[in-house]
Amino acid sequence: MVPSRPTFWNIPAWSEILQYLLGAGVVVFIVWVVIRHIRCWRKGTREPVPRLGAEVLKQALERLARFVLTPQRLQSDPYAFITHLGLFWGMVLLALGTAIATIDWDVFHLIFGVRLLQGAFYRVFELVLDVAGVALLIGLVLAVVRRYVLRPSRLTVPQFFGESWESAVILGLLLLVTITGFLIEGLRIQAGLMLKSAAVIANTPENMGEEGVRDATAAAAASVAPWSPVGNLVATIFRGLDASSLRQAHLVLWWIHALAAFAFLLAIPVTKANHLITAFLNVILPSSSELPTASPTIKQRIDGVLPSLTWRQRLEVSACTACGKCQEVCPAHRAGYAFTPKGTVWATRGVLMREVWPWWPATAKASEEHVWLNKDAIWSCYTCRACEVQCPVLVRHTNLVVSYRRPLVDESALADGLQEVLQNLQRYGNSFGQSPRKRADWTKGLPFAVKNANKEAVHYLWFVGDYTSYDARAREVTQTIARIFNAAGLDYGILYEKEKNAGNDVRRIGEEGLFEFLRDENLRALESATWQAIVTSDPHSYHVLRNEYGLKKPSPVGPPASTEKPHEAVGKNSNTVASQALADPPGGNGHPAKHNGDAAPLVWHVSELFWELLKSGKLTVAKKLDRRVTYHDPCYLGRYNEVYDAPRAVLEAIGCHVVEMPQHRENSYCCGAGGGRIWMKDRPGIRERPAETRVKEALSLGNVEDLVVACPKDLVMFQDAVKSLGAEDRLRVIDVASLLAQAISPDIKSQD
Amino acid sequence: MNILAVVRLVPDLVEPLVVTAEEDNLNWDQTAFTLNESDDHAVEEAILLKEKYGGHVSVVAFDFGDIDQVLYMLAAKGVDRVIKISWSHDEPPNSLEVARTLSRLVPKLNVDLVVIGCQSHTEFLGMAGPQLAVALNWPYVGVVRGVQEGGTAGRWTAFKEYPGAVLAQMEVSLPAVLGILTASQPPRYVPVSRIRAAAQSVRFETADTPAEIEEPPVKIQRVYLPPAVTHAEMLTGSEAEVAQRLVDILLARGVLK
Repeated sequence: MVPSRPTFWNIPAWSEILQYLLGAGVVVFIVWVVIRHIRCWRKGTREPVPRLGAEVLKQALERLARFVLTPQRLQSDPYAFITHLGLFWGMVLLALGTAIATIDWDVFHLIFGVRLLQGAFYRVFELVLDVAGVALLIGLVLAVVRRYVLRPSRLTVPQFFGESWESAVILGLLLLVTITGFLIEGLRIQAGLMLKSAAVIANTPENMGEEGVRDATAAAAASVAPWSPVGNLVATIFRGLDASSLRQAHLVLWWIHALAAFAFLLAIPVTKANHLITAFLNVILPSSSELPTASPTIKQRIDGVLPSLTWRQRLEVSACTACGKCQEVCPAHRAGYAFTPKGTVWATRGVLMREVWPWWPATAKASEEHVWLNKDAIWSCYTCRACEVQCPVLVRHTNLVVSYRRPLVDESALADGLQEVLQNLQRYGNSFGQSPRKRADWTKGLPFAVKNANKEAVHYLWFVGDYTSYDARAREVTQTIARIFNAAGLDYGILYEKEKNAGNDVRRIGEEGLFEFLRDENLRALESATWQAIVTSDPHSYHVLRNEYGLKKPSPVGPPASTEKPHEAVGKNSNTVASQALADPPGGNGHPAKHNGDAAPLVWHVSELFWELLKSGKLTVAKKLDRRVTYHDPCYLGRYNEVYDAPRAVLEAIGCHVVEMPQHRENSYCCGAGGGRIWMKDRPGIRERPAETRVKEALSLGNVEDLVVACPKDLVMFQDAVKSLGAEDRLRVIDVASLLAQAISPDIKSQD
Repeated sequence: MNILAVVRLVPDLVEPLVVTAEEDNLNWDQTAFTLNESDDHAVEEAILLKEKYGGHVSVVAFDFGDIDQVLYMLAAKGVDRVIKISWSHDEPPNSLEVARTLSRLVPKLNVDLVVIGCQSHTEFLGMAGPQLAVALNWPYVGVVRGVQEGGTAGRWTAFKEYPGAVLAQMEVSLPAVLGILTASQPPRYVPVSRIRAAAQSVRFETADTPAEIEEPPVKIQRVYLPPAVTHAEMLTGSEAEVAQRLVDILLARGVLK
């Protein structure tokens, strides 16, 4: 007899039928809950996603490979990575094996009278499933040890409704399924060996009956038991049992195994095990990192808690596993604020679960009552996206925070310090409450005139930005940049008083209407000027201009024309511009849009332009600086736009030796200014301001002279931090432009 | 309770003030205007009273400068009725004109309480409120920092601030005029989306044009920016140079000998 899988060996007909009935009930339950999940997601508002096409499919497959099949974002934590690999691949292969076994028995055997799982295929099948079972068991043991013995802080946050019992249920059931699986395999092999020695196999199927055939199959399967190494090993435990005891133990454990498996299946849609499906969906479905638009007609809060969320946000919240990787890197959490990205996402998920599953533990009714959703928590976020680059399931935490901020703005429940700034922005178009006429006062200290782009064509339109225009320290850098541009013979100009705050941080605060107002004002000014490309030294302006203004590249790129307006492709009204921006999003979490490789981007950060000018020979280095420096990646330049190399290339080109801080590039540590936090008052009693943490990190390198920045807000934040730490004699905070100026021409006065 | 809040535009001091060539007034064409800060507080206090005790809040303003945007913003805050008094002059109305115009309008509006900013930087003595109260023959309490129900015999309680941070609790019978210094809590922020929505839905009521401006009893002779009689000297140079210069100055002034 050809060895084949001894399906339902020792299982009486009533058990077999009951198992099918229970299975059907489980399927009905899962379908019912899944429909409720889908209804819950569909309650979300519209979120435009890229149209389905070859590129979208390619990206989906890439994300599947990067974030599901080989969970790239867990690799930084080898313990978690190995645990997840064991759990994931063990479960995938065992689920696949169960599916094949079902098809083999319920389709091939019962309908066509043939077996799929026999011969060589059966032997490989057994081996693969045993290995998968071991992988799963290792993963489970590691998970249990980590969660209940090692207890890393990121896995435990107080007042997490649901989290603790969910993990216990999932891990407990899976352990039971895996252990009983091996036990019944061992019992079956041992029984098979006994049946084999009793020469049951010598009979022919025709004269055996159903039970006899199954015994014969078990006996034949025992002949390939070495292909089930774990089961074969477990079988040795049962050598002392007689046939009857083996059969009784097998039947009892088979039922425990089946019931545990059914219980686990039931738990999937109603616990965080649902990330098996939702995380998969969240990873493969295209998404946009663009903030969803807000409409004043949309109800701002649901049941006093949830803000208006898009369907995609609802889906991604349900994909969260509360792994806490986001929390571990969150500068607000590390500074001691009552905020964690995990807390916000998990609490939101709890509210949504009550929509799906009415018996879910009740949450606080009003957001103000909820420790993770109240305004102190929501205003603590720096929107730095450190959490997002860590999230294994691609949750967009910052968009969720902004969604919570929007109703707070609507309710005038602002953080201390914000109201005056927002009123200044409404009235004057700048956060400083200064006259718009003073925006270009920094040009007065220059020995040359800066072109007025409102009046004459320029190649580069320099969008200067607020801090760079009004802050005394940042203005010195702005003047230095102008001198560098002049030294390079660059054709550039500025918008003078027609420039407004670009609106990036206003949007992150959640004041969408004010953002639209500022954007439209700037677009009007940009449309009435003639330019080929935009350059800015402010990464916040850079991000919003590049990704959220809907600007289109003028064509062809070349010398500025005197009569035609080369950027006429820019939308003529705000609606068009907004819809263009949404129809062509810059990229979703896990795959932000890149400049790299784009020969002539529309929007440049000055560091990119500096590097271009150095490469092209328009700027030449007169004096190598020979300094040891470290470079801080600004969040909105680095994580948001993946501009990491240009500033470093400039520093290397001028003779600086760049020593990296432990947290650099996409793992850079926020200075504490983003998301409008530069305008909000720090809460008394916090552990340490992020800027101070960062300066300490730079100081810990021990041998660097400069902390180099490429953002005016970083300059201000770090200079203050250096002073408060009393480290002025050990570390200088300096902009990359100031160092470049010293290198290209010692005559150029620069900030230092 | 029906409350009427009076709002006025005043020159925005963020922008430089420009005097006419004749030096007889500010150049109003080149002057940016903004909502008078204590009027903003008066509206906020009116809305807070409405939210606490019920009632109706109306706002009245002279149709001057960019008043429409201000009124949309106030409507978005929760004002129920917006009345605009036509005004065709180049300069904003003075306190007497405000008081005389409103004294004719208020009796038609069935108002229990009028709140008005107790001062503005065009009107240092804050006379508009008292003048209006006199014209209406209503009681007046100025420099008020909050109002609440609960006085004896149906009166209301106003909290008045005196110099030296002394607070007084004043009982006042309605109808009355209150000069508001600050509201019980800072004026709320109004998101732009709400202002836009208000601009779509709010309809302004208009009131009669006031009578011709009477010749003011006091006439401005000259308006001018005071000439600088002294100025700060910024010491520049190295630390040693700055220190030496400082020593020289202190010696010259006789502080050091």
